[in-house]
Amino acid sequence: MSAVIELSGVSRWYGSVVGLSRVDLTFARGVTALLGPNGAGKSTLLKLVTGLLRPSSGKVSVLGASPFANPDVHRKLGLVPEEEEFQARVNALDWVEYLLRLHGFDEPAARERAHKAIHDVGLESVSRRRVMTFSRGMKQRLRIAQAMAHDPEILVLDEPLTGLDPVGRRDVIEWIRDWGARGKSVLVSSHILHEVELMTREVVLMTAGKVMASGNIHEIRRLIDAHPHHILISTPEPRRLAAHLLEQDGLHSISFSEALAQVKLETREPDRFYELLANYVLHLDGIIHEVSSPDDNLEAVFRYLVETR
Amino acid sequence: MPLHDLSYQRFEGARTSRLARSLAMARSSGSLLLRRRSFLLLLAVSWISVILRGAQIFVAHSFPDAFPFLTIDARLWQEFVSQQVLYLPVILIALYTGAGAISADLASGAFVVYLSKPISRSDYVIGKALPVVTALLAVTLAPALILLLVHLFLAEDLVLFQSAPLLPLSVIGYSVWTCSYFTLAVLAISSLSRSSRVAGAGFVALSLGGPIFLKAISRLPIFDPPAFLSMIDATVDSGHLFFGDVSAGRTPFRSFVAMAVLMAVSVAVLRFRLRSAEVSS
Repeated sequence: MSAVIELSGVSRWYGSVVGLSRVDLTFARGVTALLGPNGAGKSTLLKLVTGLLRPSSGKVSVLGASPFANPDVHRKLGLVPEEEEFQARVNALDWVEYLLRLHGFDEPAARERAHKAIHDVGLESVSRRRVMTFSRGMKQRLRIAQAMAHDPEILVLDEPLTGLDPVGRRDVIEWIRDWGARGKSVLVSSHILHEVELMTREVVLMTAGKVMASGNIHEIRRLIDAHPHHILISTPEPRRLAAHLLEQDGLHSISFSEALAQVKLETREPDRFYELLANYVLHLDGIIHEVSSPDDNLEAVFRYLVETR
Repeated sequence: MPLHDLSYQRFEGARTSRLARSLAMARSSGSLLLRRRSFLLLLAVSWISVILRGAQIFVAHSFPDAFPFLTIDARLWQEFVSQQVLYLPVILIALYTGAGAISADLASGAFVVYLSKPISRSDYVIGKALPVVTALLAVTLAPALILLLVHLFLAEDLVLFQSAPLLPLSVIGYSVWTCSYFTLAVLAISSLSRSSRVAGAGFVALSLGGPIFLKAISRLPIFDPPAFLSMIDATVDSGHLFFGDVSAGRTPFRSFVAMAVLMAVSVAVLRFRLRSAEVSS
């Protein structure tokens, strides 16, 4: 499948600070997620793709043209920025209609499309309300409405799930999957792995302005599974639990504290140990108050990947 | 199973021109301004001088013998536009409409949304400048032309136009020049800050600081300070060029050049500040 977006040797500096370093990537149609902790360079990459920034070196190509200050490319792009407040006195419908006018739609067409977009994101009942009275989730829906109202070929969403309630998250994830299924190119950034897994299987892992890995999410999962996981267990009988776990294979390290009433273990087979703990409670009358995994997040995976490179 | 063409038929209908998009931006800002009572009040106050000048024209025509000192000549229109600057309506309206025009977009992140739309940075600046310049023309050019019509209606002859045939052009030129000058200055200052208040304070300092500075140094016996050091004095002084009365001004040509330089600097500041989304990130 031909690339819709192409970055070759792209670097971007903010003064002497590196925002993005020598990135080579191609994005085809469908949904691709940019995953990485804060400061990884996701927003910089999205700004380069949407033509908001010019690369310091290298080349960015969107639909075969440079996107920087290129209205022809912007006509086919929809952007949901991470943070955007709105003109305080404007209502939702007028805001979307106004931005459609900037796309070159005449007044009737802009009004019709604005109505449809507002309806699609579930803001119809509040379309005449001033945006300043909107909740964070409603504002996010409005950002999505303005980005998709002109039916763009490429949709770029910077942390679109931020500030949304569970229903909003579910809706946005469904919309993203739907756009991808309809043949649009959707680029979405996030730092939450399990949310990304619901949207797409194509991911780009980024950290410190560099692309660490890209491809199928199952590959990333495998990397995560190879990462020694820490499991923290609160129990009134840490000595007994530790003795039981020591008999098991696959244990990387274990420690316990009677004073803190907890057991800490490290393993490359976390799922097997979660099952063992369940069996310990069910069949050996063990007592466990809480099980947590302090490093079951992207930052930990990134740290691990960086260390093993 | 036959595979169907899954591509989309793109919208191929006519798009409006770039100018129309700038106008859409200007119209949106303009309608928001017109919804504010404080802005309408400011406009109304700015028109008090128009009423006074209208009364002056009426009295001069109706009672020429009783008020022989109320002569109607081209200077009346020059003084009118100059007074709109000197007595602050132009400064206040530029401050009200322009100080937050760009800084608010930078602060809110709306600037990023604008940049992602198919408009150029020039279109954006034009869209932001139009409401400011229109509001300024509403208190300079529009009333000046109305005063001309009032004079035409009341006068029994065309003596005024015989002595100053280019008067309408002078009025238009001086008003447009003045309004463009203050519009570019306030937008440039607005682009330098993400706070409308800071931008407003900067504009007030720049426009009102000049006359205070001139007043202060004119007390020194060293030299006669040139008008172009102050935005307001330079504007008033350059009026003499437009009305063909160069000898009456202090240094009208130098004031005109100084204004042109400040406008060029303002454009350069806008180009530099709005070159990319970095300013709002």
